[in-house]
Amino acid sequence: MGAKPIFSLPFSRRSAGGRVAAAAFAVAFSCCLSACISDGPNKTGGEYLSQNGILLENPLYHLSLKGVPVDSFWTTDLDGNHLGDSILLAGHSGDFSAEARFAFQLTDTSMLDSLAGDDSTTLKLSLGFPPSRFALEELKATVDDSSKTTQDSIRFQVSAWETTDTATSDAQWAQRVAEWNRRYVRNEDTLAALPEPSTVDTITLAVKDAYAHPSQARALPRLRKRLLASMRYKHLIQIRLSPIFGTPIDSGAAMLRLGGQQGDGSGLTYGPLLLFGKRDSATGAPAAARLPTLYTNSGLRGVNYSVRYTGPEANILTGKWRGLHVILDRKALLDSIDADLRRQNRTPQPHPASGDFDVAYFVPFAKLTLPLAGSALEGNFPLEIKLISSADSLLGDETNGAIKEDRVPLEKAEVLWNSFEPGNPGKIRNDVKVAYRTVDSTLRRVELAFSQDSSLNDTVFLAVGQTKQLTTTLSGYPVNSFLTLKVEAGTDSLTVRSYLTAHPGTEPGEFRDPATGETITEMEKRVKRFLYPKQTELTLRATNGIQRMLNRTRSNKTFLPDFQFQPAFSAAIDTSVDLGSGNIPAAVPYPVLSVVSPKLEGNRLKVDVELYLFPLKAR
Amino acid sequence: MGFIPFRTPRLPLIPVLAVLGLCASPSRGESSPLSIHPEGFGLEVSGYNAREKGMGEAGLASVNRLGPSLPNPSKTAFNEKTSFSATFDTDVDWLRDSETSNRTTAFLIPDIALNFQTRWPLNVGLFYRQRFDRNFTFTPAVPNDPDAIQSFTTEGGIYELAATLAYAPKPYLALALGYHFLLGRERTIESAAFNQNPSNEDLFNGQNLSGDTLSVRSNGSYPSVSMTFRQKTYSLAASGALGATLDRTLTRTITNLSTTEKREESRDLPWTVQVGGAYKPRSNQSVAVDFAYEAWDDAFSGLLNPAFRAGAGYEFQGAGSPYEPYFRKVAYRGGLGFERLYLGETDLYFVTLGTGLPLGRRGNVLDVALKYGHRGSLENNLWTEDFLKLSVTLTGVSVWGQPVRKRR
Repeated sequence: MGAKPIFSLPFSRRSAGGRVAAAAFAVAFSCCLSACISDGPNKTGGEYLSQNGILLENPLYHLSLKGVPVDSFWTTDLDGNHLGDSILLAGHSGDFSAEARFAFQLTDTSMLDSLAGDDSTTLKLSLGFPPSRFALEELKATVDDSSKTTQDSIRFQVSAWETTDTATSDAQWAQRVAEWNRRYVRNEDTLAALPEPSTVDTITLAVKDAYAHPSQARALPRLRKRLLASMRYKHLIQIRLSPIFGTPIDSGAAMLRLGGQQGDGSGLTYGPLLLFGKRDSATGAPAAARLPTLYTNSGLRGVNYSVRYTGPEANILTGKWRGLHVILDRKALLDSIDADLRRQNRTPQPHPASGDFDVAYFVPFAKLTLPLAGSALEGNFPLEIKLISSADSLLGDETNGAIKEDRVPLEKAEVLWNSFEPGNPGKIRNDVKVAYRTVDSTLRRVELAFSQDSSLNDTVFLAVGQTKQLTTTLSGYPVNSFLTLKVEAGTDSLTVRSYLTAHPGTEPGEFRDPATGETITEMEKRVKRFLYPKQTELTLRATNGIQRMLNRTRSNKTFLPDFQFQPAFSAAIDTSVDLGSGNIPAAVPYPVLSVVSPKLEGNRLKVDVELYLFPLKAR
Repeated sequence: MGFIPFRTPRLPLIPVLAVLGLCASPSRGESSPLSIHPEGFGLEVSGYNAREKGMGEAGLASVNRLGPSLPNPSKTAFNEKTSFSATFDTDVDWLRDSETSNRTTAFLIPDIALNFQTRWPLNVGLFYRQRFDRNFTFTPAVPNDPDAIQSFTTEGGIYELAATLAYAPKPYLALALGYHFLLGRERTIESAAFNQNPSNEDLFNGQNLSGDTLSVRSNGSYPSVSMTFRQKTYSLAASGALGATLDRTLTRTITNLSTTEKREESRDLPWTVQVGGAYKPRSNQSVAVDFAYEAWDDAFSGLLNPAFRAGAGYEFQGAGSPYEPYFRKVAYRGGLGFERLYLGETDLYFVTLGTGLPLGRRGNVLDVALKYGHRGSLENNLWTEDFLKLSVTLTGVSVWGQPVRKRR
């Protein structure tokens, strides 16, 4: 007997059956192993995936659809309130006109002493003309009207509403100041809706060399006389500066950029001031002779302005921020896509007959081109225009995609909308009413009232026949949504057209550098994509909006797929700024007036749609 | 003198670790293009532990009175102790492709099982198992269109929870009943990158399809039955399961569009039957053969076909005496097999090697199996695939849960 091996063999060497079994197993094992290692077809799995329709042989369709009819279009003014803006507009140019508003509170009655005497020029309104670091030459040029006729001066009517603290407590006075500020400065009430001004003066401002001097001061003799009547009281003075059209001949078109909220101390030179005493300008005047605009409850100075535009309603504007909404018809677009694919000898993807979603295609890229009839870009600045894609929930007619339209009879109030508790769509938070009231035979008052959130209440005055647009928000709908109302004042009823802009999103405006792959952020590389003077079309990316439109079957049914061509907030770009290091484009810091006119055929609009389609499998 | 029903449980450390490992591990198994087919459920995962895997995935009838058995729960009625097992699979798969390298590694926990020995010849088994596995990712090295680089990923599978009851009415006969619950979580993601071609300025600034994702949730159940007939030198076994109907909910989302749209459908899993025999030429040797059949039919899709598997293996068992050197106690195994997969009449050839390493004197064992497989589609011959899989099963035995005599 020898020692046992460390490893015991599975097959006994002494067993014949075991040897046979071992040999058979070894042969079978070798055969199987050699079969495994034999060559296969030597092909990639990708070909197998292609055959099974997972990797597509023709993965992209590129389509360029010319002249796609627009189902409907309209414009929305997104011009915010300019309370406390640092630059104010006043004047008129082309179809634009602008009124500036200022509020003063005189609490130091000793200032009134300097008004005494026979000199009617001892009260002056000083208006500042702050020079711009950028685009100053263009700014000077913008005081000319489109006819390029140099204007020497422009005349303004200075309407003043004045009240004193006679027989009022401090609390009553503070409340009155707040109410007057709200009505005269913050709200855009029309002159027709305001009471007769306490005084009306007329001033003439120099235009040609406006920006050569920091300020101009003009006498207000009627207001002076009014203040002299109450020498021992506090005064609240609300001033409105309205351009006078037509006469005299030298008060032609000019849109002035005045200083607004320009800070304290010496910087007040550029802000609106009331100058007391024999002062020719704000420069060098002691503080005791200068009355700056008051601070409102919001902490902003009591300065504001309103821009009006009387040109075609379909125009895209800057200076007054107006965007053009374009609604495409989903079915018509799909038909155009299918027709174009057939022209390319491709088979269009089928679309589902039911359901909320259509995932026949993924859209990796799409852009819209809006043909233009022309554009008038003040200062010839290139403009940055954004495309905002959104789904407009119609709140009312969810069958044929119509905008909700209501009529409110005179002297009635009706609930037109509801807002809901955020996160709890089943619970109504507000009944939102619109009331239509008579002010006089030609003037109507429209009241927007929220049952809970009264801070959102609004009141506007309209002359009979006048149309006005309002925007507000409704809680409980998607974030950033807003309700746009277009109200038309009839003799006996108010017509209200409303739509809720939901899920708005700005299409990306940046582009990547093909060489580096990095997103281009430098302005000088981006401006080439902006809208330039004489450009005949406006092309913007619309990938997200076209995606949403194609992938959601309820487009044009329960919501409108909305493409909004909207000027950026500081749309105008100065490409010639020289700060000592070469030309560096920069946003122009003051409001620039521009008109971009879409090309209409009759009353219809067409756009070009270019897109890529990635067909998706039915799964 | 009397009995209390069960001994106070000691901390079942290894099962706890196994469950924790399951939770922490990525749920991935064999990577194969077969996973792409929506008509199927992915690759079927063997229910055997590493002992049977080392024997050519045979051993249905091979009784070793140790550890749970999901394919044949009836043979656990011959066990003498409560036991548990956990199996870990890891493998390397590669498509045969000389132009591109498409090798992937995968890891899977195919099963965890507990088998309770009661005071009667009755065993209760609890099982977790991954029945099907989807696992494939592919991005072509040379896309069809430079503007659209497509890629594909599928993952998830069908998971199974089962309870079995095994009973040996006679020393030579054991029967078992089982009930199995199926839970499916599968996902296929088809993506495309469009912003990789600088020469196309538009698409270079376009948006990618981050995922056209189809998520499938499913559930179903089925009963099973098994039987083992045991003699001194041979044993026979059979097991079968009824078909199951899977209720499936399919949800689809694409980039920038979170659909809430769902589709309901039902799909059938076929009935299965498996038979096996084992012969013991010597007391420490076993030869086992298995045959399994799954009744897939082409009623739902022409891609599906009946599947079968045949395997044969051999085991040399180590010495059971605690006084033998360690290496004499080691078991050695080998086997081979053939399988016709249920998708596309794909054939799989494989060879296996295995070993069983005793752990201590209580009967715990670590089984290791190595499987080399080669499969390809007969239908279109577009691909073949090789894989090398390592399986490790830890089997522990205990008296936990067994009745014990009360101490005075």
